[in-house]
Amino acid sequence: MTTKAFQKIYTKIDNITKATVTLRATGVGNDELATVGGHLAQVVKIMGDQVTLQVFEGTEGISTDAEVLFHGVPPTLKVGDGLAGRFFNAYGEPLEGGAPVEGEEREIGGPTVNPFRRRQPSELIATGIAGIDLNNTIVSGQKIPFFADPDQPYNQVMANVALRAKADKIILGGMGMTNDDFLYFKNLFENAGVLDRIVCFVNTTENPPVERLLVPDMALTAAEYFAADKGEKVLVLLTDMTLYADALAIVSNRMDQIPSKDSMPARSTRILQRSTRRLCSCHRVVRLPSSL
Amino acid sequence: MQLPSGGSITIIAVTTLSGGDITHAIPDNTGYITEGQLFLRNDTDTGKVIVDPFRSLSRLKQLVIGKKTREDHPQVMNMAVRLYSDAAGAKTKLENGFDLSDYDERALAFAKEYSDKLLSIDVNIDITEMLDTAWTLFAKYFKKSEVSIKAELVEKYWK
Repeated sequence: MTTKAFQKIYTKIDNITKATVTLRATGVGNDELATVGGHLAQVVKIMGDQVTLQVFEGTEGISTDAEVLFHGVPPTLKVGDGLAGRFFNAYGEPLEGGAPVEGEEREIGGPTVNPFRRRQPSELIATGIAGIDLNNTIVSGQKIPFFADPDQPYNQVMANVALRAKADKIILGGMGMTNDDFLYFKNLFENAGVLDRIVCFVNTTENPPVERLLVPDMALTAAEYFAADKGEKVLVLLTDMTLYADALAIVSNRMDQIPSKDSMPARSTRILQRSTRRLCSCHRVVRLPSSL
Repeated sequence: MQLPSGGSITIIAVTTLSGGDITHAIPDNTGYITEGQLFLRNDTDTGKVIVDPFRSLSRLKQLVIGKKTREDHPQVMNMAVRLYSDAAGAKTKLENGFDLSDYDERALAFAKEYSDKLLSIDVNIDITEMLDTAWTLFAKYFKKSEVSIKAELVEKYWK
């Protein structure tokens, strides 16, 4: 962590909720990282000089006079070929010990690839699963959700797709994954000898839920490195977006926004859209139904 | 997205449903902003999990089927789902105590094998094999006249 010479330390928090703190501060950027009472946090809202931060581990134990120190940078990921075959947490730190990845440091919330550079997708991604390849063929460059009831073996299906899909790299983003599922993925990939094609960013049920919010951007930053810089065919598997949205609700509901449908904050779809801007890269402005 | 460098990023995102409700805010908006959806469902006849052909859709499939895959792909795909749908209709008749026609009986038998051999998530074969399997099933349960596929494709691929 680099600190600037005359960094202000704030010691007056105005409001604390389950996952956020609000204080008056200036010169702060959106998405900027900060430390609140020693805990890692991120700017999620700036209104004039009122800054709200989401604290990844939750705010338990944080008092109103806790020190708030802004890092001056948003979350970043160092991208390089060394990412392949490794497992990382939601912050991009290696899970198994081992050296951190060397490479260019990129902001994970950075600008998306210019829409005008994109071409109409027209290669197929064969998954080996007939229900997909035969009836619902997926095209490279596509974004498609996989709906399932919680008791269905969706992670097994995803794992099989990861093994069989004809892709140069598979980036797995796990959000709220059980430890069992994580070990399942890890063993499967190791045994199949495909680990060198795979990069995993994992937030498990043992990690704080709010951390999950970093996972899609981490996965997509890595994906963009391999796709744009190396010209590779990349498949990104995200599981489970419902748990991601739950984490958003924890943060947004605590920002005193009036919840609307199904306790999702009225702005959640816009937040979801902003966070998944890379996911909807082919869409411009989407008119959202007013019922939300 | 597909990039001029030849690279591409394809995204498959699992979204679990609470109580199978796709009108809940989360799946509702994920479905809205992406290019289709895939649904898993339990098939009670085979006891296996399948990708549900009725509720699943890939909005971009028409860019590649029959072009990057074999020429018979679009018609075989549609016909098989049509027959599967006829079988669902037959099942409803059965449940309501109506008599089944010979066609209905064959459709039901086809549907069970189609689900088992092609829709189940444990089936791991390439697309050509999938198409040939479908043709085999057509020939097993139906006459050429009952399968409305272009004559020249029937001539070429009927098993």
